[in-house]
This record gives sequence, structure tokens and C-alpha cells, in this order.
Amino acid sequence: MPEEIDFTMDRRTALKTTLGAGTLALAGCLADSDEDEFRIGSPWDVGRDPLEDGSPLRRLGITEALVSVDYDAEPTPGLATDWERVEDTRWEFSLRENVVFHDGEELTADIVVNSLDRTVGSEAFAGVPITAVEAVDDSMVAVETESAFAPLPAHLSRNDAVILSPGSFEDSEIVEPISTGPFVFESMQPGTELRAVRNDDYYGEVPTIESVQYEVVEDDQTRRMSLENGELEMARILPQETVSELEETDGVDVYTPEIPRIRFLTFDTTIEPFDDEQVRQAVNYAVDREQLTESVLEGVDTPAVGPISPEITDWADPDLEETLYDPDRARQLLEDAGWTNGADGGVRSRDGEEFEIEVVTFDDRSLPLLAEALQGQLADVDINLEITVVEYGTMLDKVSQGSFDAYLTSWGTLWYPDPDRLADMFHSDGDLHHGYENEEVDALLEEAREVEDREQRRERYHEVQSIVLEDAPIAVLTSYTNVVATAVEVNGYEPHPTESRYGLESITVEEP
Amino acid sequence: MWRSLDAVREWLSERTRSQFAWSLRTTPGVRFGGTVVCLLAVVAVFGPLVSPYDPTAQVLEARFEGPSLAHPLGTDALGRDVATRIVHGARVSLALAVAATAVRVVIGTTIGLLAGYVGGLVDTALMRLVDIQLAFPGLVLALVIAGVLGPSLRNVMIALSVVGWASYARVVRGNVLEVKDRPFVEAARLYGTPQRRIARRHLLPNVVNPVVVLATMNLGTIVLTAAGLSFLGLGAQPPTPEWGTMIAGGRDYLRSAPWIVTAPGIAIMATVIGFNVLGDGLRDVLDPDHLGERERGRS
Amino acid sequence: MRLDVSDLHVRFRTRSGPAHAVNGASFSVDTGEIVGLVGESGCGKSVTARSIVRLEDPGEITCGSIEFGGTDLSAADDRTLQRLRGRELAMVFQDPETTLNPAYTVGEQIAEAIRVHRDPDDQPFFRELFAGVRSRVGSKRTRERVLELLREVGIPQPKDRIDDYPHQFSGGMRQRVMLAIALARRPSLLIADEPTTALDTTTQAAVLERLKTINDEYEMGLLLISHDLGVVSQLCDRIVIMYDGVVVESGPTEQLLSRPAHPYTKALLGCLPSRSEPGETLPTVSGSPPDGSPPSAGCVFVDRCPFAREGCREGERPASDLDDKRTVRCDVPEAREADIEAMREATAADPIDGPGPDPGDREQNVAVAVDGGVQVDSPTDTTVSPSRSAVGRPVLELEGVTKTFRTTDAVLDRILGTDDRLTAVDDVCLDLRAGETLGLVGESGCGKSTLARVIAGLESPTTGTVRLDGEPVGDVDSRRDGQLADVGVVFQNPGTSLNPKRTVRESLAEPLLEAGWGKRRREERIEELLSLVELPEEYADRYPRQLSGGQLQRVAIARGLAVEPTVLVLDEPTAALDVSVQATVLNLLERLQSQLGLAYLFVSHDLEVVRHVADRVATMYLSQLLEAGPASQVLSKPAHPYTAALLEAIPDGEPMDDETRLAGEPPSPTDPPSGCAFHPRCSMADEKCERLEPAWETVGDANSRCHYANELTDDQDEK
Repeated sequence: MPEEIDFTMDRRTALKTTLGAGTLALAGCLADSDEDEFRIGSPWDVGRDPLEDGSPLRRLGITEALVSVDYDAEPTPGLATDWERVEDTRWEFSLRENVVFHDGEELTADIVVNSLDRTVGSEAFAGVPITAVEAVDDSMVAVETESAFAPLPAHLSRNDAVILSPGSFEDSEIVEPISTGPFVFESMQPGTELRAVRNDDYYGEVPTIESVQYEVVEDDQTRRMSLENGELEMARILPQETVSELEETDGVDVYTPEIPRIRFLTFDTTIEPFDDEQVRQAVNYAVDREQLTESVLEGVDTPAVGPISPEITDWADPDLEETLYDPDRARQLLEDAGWTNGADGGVRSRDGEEFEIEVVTFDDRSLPLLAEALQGQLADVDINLEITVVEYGTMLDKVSQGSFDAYLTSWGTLWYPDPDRLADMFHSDGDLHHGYENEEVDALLEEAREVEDREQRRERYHEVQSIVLEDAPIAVLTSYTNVVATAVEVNGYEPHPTESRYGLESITVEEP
Repeated sequence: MWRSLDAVREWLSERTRSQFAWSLRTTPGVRFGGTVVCLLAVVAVFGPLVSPYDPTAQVLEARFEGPSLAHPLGTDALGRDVATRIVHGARVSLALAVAATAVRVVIGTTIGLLAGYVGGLVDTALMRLVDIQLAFPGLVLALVIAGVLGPSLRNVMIALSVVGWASYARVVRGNVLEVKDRPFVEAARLYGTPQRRIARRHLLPNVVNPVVVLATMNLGTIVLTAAGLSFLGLGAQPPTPEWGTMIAGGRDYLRSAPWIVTAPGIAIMATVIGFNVLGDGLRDVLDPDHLGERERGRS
Repeated sequence: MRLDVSDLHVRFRTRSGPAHAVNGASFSVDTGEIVGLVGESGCGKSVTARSIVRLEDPGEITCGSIEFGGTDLSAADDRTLQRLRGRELAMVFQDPETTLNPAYTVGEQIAEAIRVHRDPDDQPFFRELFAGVRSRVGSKRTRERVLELLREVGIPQPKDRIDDYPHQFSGGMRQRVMLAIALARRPSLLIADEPTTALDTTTQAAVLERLKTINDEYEMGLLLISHDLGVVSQLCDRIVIMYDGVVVESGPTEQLLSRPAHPYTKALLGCLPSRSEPGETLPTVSGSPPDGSPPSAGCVFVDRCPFAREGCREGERPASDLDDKRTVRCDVPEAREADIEAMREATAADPIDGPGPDPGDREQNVAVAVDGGVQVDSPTDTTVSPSRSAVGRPVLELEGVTKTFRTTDAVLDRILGTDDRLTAVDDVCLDLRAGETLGLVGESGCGKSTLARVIAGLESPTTGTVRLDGEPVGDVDSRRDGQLADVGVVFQNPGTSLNPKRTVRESLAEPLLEAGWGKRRREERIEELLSLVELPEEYADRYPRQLSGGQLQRVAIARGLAVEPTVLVLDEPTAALDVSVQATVLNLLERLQSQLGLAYLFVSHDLEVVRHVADRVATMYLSQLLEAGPASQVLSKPAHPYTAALLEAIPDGEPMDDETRLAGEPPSPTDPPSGCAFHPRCSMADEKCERLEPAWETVGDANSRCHYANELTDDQDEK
């Protein structure tokens, strides 16, 4: 889950970088700022290698992959103009013609094979069952998979599956990311910035922006202030609570696109008390999602009950109940499960054991606060919730060792544009460590991964979504909104649902 | 020069003898620091009894309310009364500081006494241990310990107890070394006083003063460090009202709701300054040698 | 250049109001003159000295002037002061341990003074920074001058010592280095603040002599500050006596000592043990010492003066000139004319020795029963004092007691056995009988304190036996309760021998508690002890800091006596006390001995004190006893050249006899000389002494370890 790492920023890093960012901001003031430069502030670090912190390269438009993602979060032609599943386990990708790398090299099947071999062999692709990548001819590349694997194009659209020119490497180390995108890599400072200039020879729409500077600004408030002070043209991933203020700020436009990402509570279904489906459902009913989004999430995010938002794609099951909040039902479920409390209304107990659970979460922006609000809501049904806030890594350790009652986290649900992601969540071999095993769900997910027909796949995924809502190995709480703000002079920005691109080529900046 | 200066000092102590309390009261440091600390203690002990709100009760409709009559210090991101949380936080901070300091004092004094009085290999071994601990940056070590043990107030207390005793051991050992060869200790040996009793009766009382001063100053530092660890998420877990946690939780709203951060910030500052000034003042009162050193420095 | 101090007032600001350290001191020092400034602790003499070099901080000069060579120092600016300190004014402090910087070689420190002398105005900050890292004795010219100075102050083999660090020097040698630093400036006035107080008598004699020589050679004025009238009278042309911040009398040494005019001077002289017969109760100064409170109208000494009249309490006493050389601040003719004997009588009969301003703090008057000097008339003395005729079985016997120490504490050395051993006490045989006082004398480092500690049981002897009442005993941990009770110890410094955190009662109760006394019995005993040492009962609840030095020593003595010992080991019990306080403590000890029949082991380096208290004297040198015998014989007709040398070194105003004078310093105890330990410093030594360790010889009632013991006493008889 390399993408997940993006969302782990602890306060320590924040502290550390606030100072750095401050210095940077000062330096920015002093430096002769290039009028035509488009500056983007984001918390995520930059790297030369697509496999390591390489997302900004893709998002800026320096690197490109065989497959792109369109604004409906579906795979769409990129460097491959077309692909075909010639056999269950063999795909053939036709390459775009007359594409030239930034270093003048022409795009050929061999280059693609070389580049993809590196990707496929990497840790990041460990879960993707690709067995071989080979050149069929100069403009055709074949990919073999171990088993029938419908989500293959989606995986080849990932930020780490981009195609690099052989000139990028020196002894298999990447010295400069040379690809085919509308922007050309110029320079970078890990932890600080990435610069790119326009690729005037781009085969597609040539951007109007001449150069881009991507600045790593980890602290939210610094990013926001830099934007307000005119030191950035675009600030990304701003906290929800800034939306209403930014909307009132002159000279700033705010975008609040919903992205395929959810905040949810994962239960350990193997131990008390969450080994009981009734108890898990009770929690599901006890949470007032509306109140959570309206209060601590400032009304920016929306309540969610299913893993995929119907707003974004039709992979989402449209028949899910819209709101679950029903505290009386929650209490009843708890009573039925044997968790009772006396007339005094204290914490519920069963067999002398109090209903006291530890919820682990990590120090991401809104999660600890959300946990506290959750604590208040569950107290209404007499469940005592204790919160432990740790670093992301620590939480993963804890979770993978199974030492938790429940944990609160957020996940991108379509970060490669295919609902196969649901397998990561609900298959008994999934990555959530909830211990939930449902043969029916497993079978549905496995079938859906293999079949080609979209309609057939969708049916199965809808089925899965309705089953897991009932079984509740996780309790989905809210959707996720990405808050992006730009200077008011910036026109033509269209937020991309999976964030695989900022869409800079369509942006224009008015002369102030 | 000794004789006359000593005489002056002697005369001074004659004047102020049995007026220890008086000199306590007239030392500005003690007065100011003492007032602040006493106030804090009163707030910590009685504050929670009189404050009208529950420090953890969320009123999501009343988030980010600015200071008003109902909420003199405003409300936070979950609509909790900041003033109430400050008051309860004082209890948490002070209790933690006192407990950690007590553990430090006990460990440090015991080790210092042992090292100083037994001497020899015991001394060497214990002091190397102290050196090792002093060589580690205290906060980093506390961070590591708290990190390994997992985030919780209790673990922060353990971490802070484990790291800070070295300076006490140092101070106590130094004083013991100075005192143990004084004739009055030999005199005690002469009439057959057992070592344990010598340590308790003759050594301990003579090393108490610097320990008291150090402990007072330490209290402030611990409040600060504990708040720091909590700020970093290693200490108090929500919804425990702890100053460091409150600052951490409020820093995202620094612009829109500055009171959430300001109030605990000022509370921490006042506590640290209060203890430090009190410690300084106590040193002047309890440790006239220190004063003497300044005079000596001029000769 | 002449120094004129007139009407100097120095005040210290304290929390409880100003403390007046100096209340109008006036005196002068002429070019080439040696003036002694004498007074007891707290009289303001050191503050006066420091004010002259303008180091009075944290005090402040509130009134008066200090003229030096025509410049008023009290108003001089920093630049002038810097120049004067660099060239004309030099000061030597009391404690050479702390006034030399341990981080630099002595040569370096002297060279620094030379540099400052050459160019007192030019001390740029940055050059100082760099100067810190490079040696100042680099230049040949400077080095030569440093060597010359070292030679001048009497440091042997200066070439070998110039690059040594202060810790490699002994106390006396360090004081010489301080002197060299002072002399490097070729000052026209040297102020020496108790320059020999921290030194042995023999070392003191050598340093004093050196001062005298230098004074002659340099034509330099010397202001010698001391509490010791003996030291001052040996060296000074004139003496200035200070009391409570006021100069009470000044005049030429001889006149002042033979015909003192001010009652305080007389009292001070009267207290000296050397002025009384051995065993006789010493005269004391009644009343409490001054406490630095604001000057009251009238004579400063009035509360303690037996001649005080009503008029003395009113109006400033003017300093009147007795003749052109002497001034005295007393206008009572009887007081001025009374001689010391009459002064004693007057003190004894003093009717105003009632409660002073603060009766609780008053030094108890021990001298109540003094009747005029020769005859002692205290109640216990009506019987024959047992102290003069010790009889019976020895209560304490030492048989071949030897104590050695490791010189290194390293574990490896111990395992390998490569550690050197230092012999602190070598084969000492002594005995002590009830009612007897044995004085143990010797220079510092000779092992006398170690011997006292062995007897007390704080150290166990390496070989040999200590017997108490005929029974061999080990160290304190192995002694039985009764044996522990047999030996009481009084340490040198009462300030450190009492736990500052425990009241007098607690301190006194402790030995009783350990000896298993019940509460009631303890209380009674404490009362009894306090009355034995003549302290009021209410002192029981005071802390040591609330007592004066003399009172503390009384408490320490009371503690030593608590469990009714038969032997009291007194380790320099009066060395840290003022002369007048020393007198009261010595008197107390004398009386306790006759009252309780105690045996005293009195360790001291002060032969005058020993002469006064001891029945028998043992001289110790380099861990060995060299001579032992009746005090009367040993201290008048020494049978060992070392004892003779010690006696010679007592400052008494007479020039030193070259023949018996001690040459050099004691050799290191880790490497004792062959033959007679004393031979390298002995004026009589010959080849035999180098080779052969002398055996004990009996000379009269005494024993001496000298090949020529008999010849020596014969010589003295001839003289």
C-alpha cells in the first residue's frame, strides 16, 4: 500500500518541518520569483524513482504510464492506445505512435518492457500476478498473468507503473526521471521541492504553464498561509476546518472534490466483544455519521456506509441503506448480545466484564478528533471507548499483530481504478486484519477478479458490499474530501478523482 | 579575608537564625514562585471540585466558542470548556510531575548515597551508570522509552522517572563525599554508630537542601517535558485533559480559535516559571554556600 | 611610598541592614616599614586590607580616605587602580591552597605578574584570549626573572620547579610562590593577609624570615595582618591593634608589647599561653566578641573592659597620642596605666560582667575565679591536682604501633601488589596515665593526627597493639561498648565536627543513645555535660550555626566526654580558635581534667600551647617519635635537635639561631631517608646519622632518638 504511506504524517515530522518550511517561505520571499512559475504546495515528499515517492512526478505530468485514469475513475488510454485481453491470462497493449521521451528517445516496445520489468519486479507489485512482460513487435507489448486478472489495466495505470526512458538509469539507479509527459523534470531536492518545465514537444495538449515548482510543505497552516500570501498558486490537502474561512478569503478559490477514500473503524472479529456480529452492528447503528461530518469534519465530508462512494463510480452498490443511525436499535442489539447495564446507566457489562474497548488510531489530521467524537457517541449507548493515538507505523505493527479491539483509519478505495480493491478489504486474505472470513464473499471477490464482463463483475461487487454491511467487519464512517485551494487567477483546474494527475496542462493563469 | 567575611556571614546567620521562615518569606524568588505554585496547587486540588463542566463532555453544537461568561476560556474542537480542561489538566500535570520527581529523588538519592558512602567499586559502577544516563539526551531517552512502552500518561511518568535521577545521584554523591569525611561523621563512628544510621542521621540531612532545590526546579521541567511528550502524542490519550495534548489538539485551529492553544500554553509557562523561580529562591535560602561562592568569586 | 589610612569606614549591605565591618580605622605604613595589623576574628582587619587594594566588594567604603603615594585610593578610577596594583601595591592572601590557579604552572603565574608589571595599562582582551594558550615563560628574559624571583623567595632548585604545578608544592612553598608573584611587581607596599596562618610553625618561621629579608632588600613597606601577636612581634616595626572595626592602639612593637596602653591590647597579651606558667589558668577577655552591629556611641570595648566607666559609653573615644609614636583610643588613665597583671585582677573583680546586650550569645566567662595570676584558686584545685602527678597503671598503651597506607587506590595495583605503601606511623610506643596530659607535637604530615586516629579507633594499626586499660583493642568497629566509651575525641575544627543539621542536644545524645542509655538518663547527662562545659542549658536546642567557635568547641568537648571516657584525644583543639577563645577552652580543659581525672592526648603544632597544658611531651617527625619526656624538661632542655628546632621556630621576637634552624622541608614519607630520619635537616648531623638509625637514649627523665642526645643537653647546660 505505498499510497497509504502518503497519509501518514505525525506531529513530529510536522514540528521538524514547520521550521524548515518557515525558512523555505522566507527564502521564497527573498528569491526572485519567476512570474510564470506555477507553484504547488503539498505535504508529500518527492523522489526521483517512481517506486519511491514518485507520485508527484506522475501528478505533475512528468511521467506517464501505459494506462491513464479518466475523470470517472476508469482506466483510459495513456501510452497504450488500446489493449485487449487476448487470453484469460494474456493481455496485449498497443503503444501510442510517435511518442518521444524527454531525452529524444522514441517510445518502443522494448523500452516499455524494460521499464515495466523493473516495476513488476518491485515490492510494490508483489500482489499483482504478472508473470511476464514481452514485446510482441515494435509497438505491441504483451503481459502475461498467472491467473485470470481483470484489474490488470488498472494496475498498469498506477503511479509506480510509469514508463521511463533508458536514459533515466545508470546502473539500474534512476538518476533522472525521463518519461514522456507534458512536463520535463528539471531538478529536485528531496524533502523540499521538485521543478519541471513545459514539454513543448508533447504529443497531446501542450500546457500553457511554462514551469512548475512543487514544494514540499508538510505543515497545513504553512501551506495555507503561503497560498494566501501569494507564494503558492495551489495548496493541496488542506484541513477541513479551513474550508469555510478560505471560501471567505479574497483571492483564493477552494475545491472540495470527493475522492474515493473512506474513514472507517475495523473490528477484530476474532475476539470479544467484536466477535459478535450483533455488537459490531450495534456500533454501526450507534454512530451518528451525520453529526460527525457536520461537526468535527466541518460539513465538508459526507457520511458513508459503504466502501465505495456512489458519487464517484457505479461500482458502488446503490441499494445500501443511506443512514444507519438508530441508537435504540444499537442498545437493543447490545442487550441481545448480553451486554447489559443497570438502571444507573453505567458502562455495559457482560459476565462481570465491562464493555471497554481500545480504539487505536494514528496521528493523521482528523482521525484523533474523530475518535474523540466517536468516543462521545458510543458513550451514549454505554460503551466505553479508550483511544490510543500512535504513529502510523506503530498502528500497523499493532494491527498486524492482532493486538487491538478496533482501529480507526482511512483507505483509498480506488487508488488503482478497479473495485478489486474490495478484496484487500474483505477477502479473508485481505490486508485489514479484521479476521473476518466469509466464504461467500471470498468466492464473489475471486470470481469478480477473473471475469471480464463489467456487468458481471459489478453485480458481484454490489453483492459483496451488501453482505459486508450486514456482517460489519468494518464500520464505514465517512467519505473523504480533498481540500484544494488555488489562487483566484488559476483557471481550468479540474480535480481528478484518483489524484493520479493534477491536470496542469489544462490550467491557465491569468495575469494579475 | 576569611575571618572577617566569615564573621559577617556568621553574623548574618545569627540574625536570621530561627527566622528561617522569615527569610523564606522575604526572598523575592520564593515569594513569587511560591505564590504561583501554591495557586497552581489550589487550582489542581480544588478546581475540579468547583468547575461546572465535565472536562470530557462533548457539546458538538458548541464548538469553537470564543471566551464568554459561560466559557471564560472558550471551547475546543469538540465543544468542551477549555477552562475546565485547564483546571483538570493542572491536576494531571502536577500529579505526574510530583510522582515522577518523587521517584527520581528516591532513586537518585539512594544511588548517590550508596555511591558516595560505600565508595570503591560500587561507586565506580553506579557513577558509570549515571554517566551513561547523563550522556543520553534526556528528552530523547524519554521519547524512546515512552515510545517503546506505548503512549499513556503512566508510561510517560515511568519514562520521566527513569531518565531524570542521574542528576540527583550526582548531587547527592558529591555532597556525601564532602560530608562523609567531616569530623562529625567520624565522631559518630567513634561512639559506634552503625553505617546505616550514619547515612540516615548524618549524611542524608546534609544533602537534603540541594535535593530540594533540584527537585523544585525539576518539577517545572517535568511539567514541560510531560506536556512535550503529550504534545507529540506519547503522553495523555484523549480525552484526558492534559496541557500538552490540548496544545496538540488546538494547533490546527491556531488562527480561528487561538484560545485553545493559548490557555494551556500560558498554564505551562506559568508553571515552569513558577517552579524555577521558586527553586532559585529556595537555593538562595537553603544554600548560603552558593551565595558564598559568588562572594568568593570576586576575591 | 607612604600609605595613609584615615578614618576608614566599610559597610556590608545585608538583608537585615548594613553590617559595619570597619568603623574608622586610621594608621599609616611608611616606606620600608613593617606594620602589623592585629586583631581577632571579625575585627575588620582583613576588610581593611582588602579595602586598601580596593577589593572591598561586596562591602563599600562609606567614609574616610586611603592615601597611597599621594593618590586617594578610595576615589581612584579603575585605570589608576590597575596601574597601582600592577606596580606598587601587592597583596598576599592567607590560603595558598586557593589563591594559586591550579591550571597553570607556577612559572606561568609569576610571569603573568611580571608582564602586568611591565605594562599594566596594556592588557588587550584579544591578546589575553590567545595568551591563554601560549606559555608566558617562553621568553628567556622573563624566564630568568622568574627564576630569580623563585630563588629570592627561597625555593630550592628553582630551575626544576619553575614548570611545576601548584599541587606539586607544599603549603609553605606555595606561599613562597604567592610571595614571588607579589614581588614580581616590585611593589612599594606589600599587604600580607595572614600569610603564615595556614602553615606549620617551622614553615612559618622560614616564610616570616623571608619576608623580613625581602623587606630589607626591596625597601618595601609591609603591612602584615595577623591574629597572632607572636608572629607580628617578631617581624614588625610597629603594631596596630584593631577591635570591632576600630584601631584601638598603635605604636612601636617593643613599647606596645612591654607597655600596652589599651585594655584590649592588655587582655590580648594576657591570653597568650606563653605569658602564663604551665598549668596555670589563663586570663581571658570577658564578655562577648563584637558582632558587627552599627557603632554604638562610646568605646567599642566598653562591654568587656574592666575599667569601663559611665563616660566610656558616651561619645566617640578620640585617639590620643601617648607620645609622638603611639596612639591609643582610651582616655581612662587607670586603664592605660594598668599593667597586664593589674588588668587580670580587674577582670576578675569586674563588677560589670553582667549580661551584655545579648546574654545568650555571650561567651561564658570562664575566668570568674582568676585571682591574679600566679595562684589558681578554683575549687577543684584546692586538692592536689592529679594532672601534675599522674600515677597508677596506664589507661592507654601503644606498643610498636605502625600504620601504613596505600598510596594508590587502583584495583590493578592492589592485585599486582605494585602499590607503594606510605608509613604514617612507625613503631610508636607510648603510654598515658589517668590525670595526665601528653602533648604530641610535630610539623604537619608527621603522622601525629594519624596516631590520634589510631588511638581513637578510626584507623586500625597495621602492626603493633593499642591497649585500653591493659586490653588490646582494634578499630571502632571491633571495640566493645565499654571500650568505645573509654576514648573520647575532640577534633580540630568545631565547625565541622558537629553535624550542622542537629541541635546540640541531638549531637550530645547520640553517643549516649549508641551506648544504650535510656531517655531519662540521657536528658540528665546532657544537662550535666552542658554545665560541665559551662554552657547554659538553653543552648541544648540550638544549632551549631547559632554558636560561636568557642561555644562549638565546648559542645564538641562535651560530646567527647559524654559517655565518661578515661582518655580524651584532643586533635589540635584550639588551632582554629582566636587567642582569647583559646584561653577559655584551655582553661576549661584544665579544669575538666582535674575534676574528672581524665587523661589527655593533646595533639598540637603549637608548642606554646603544649608547654602550657602538657605534663609530658612527645615529638614526632616523619612518622617516628624522636623525643619523649616531661614537658618541663623537653621544652626547656630538648634532647633532640628537632625539638630544639621546633622551639627555635616559635616567633618570639628574637633572631633565629642559625645552628638549630630547620633547613628545608620534611622529606616525603613515601621515601624516608636512611639512618636518622631527621639527618637531612639536622645541623648536627654527620656521617653516622646518615647510616645508622639512632636508638633511644635516656637523658634525664626524657628519652631521645639521637646519637648525640647527651652532647646536645650538655651544650645547653653550658650556655
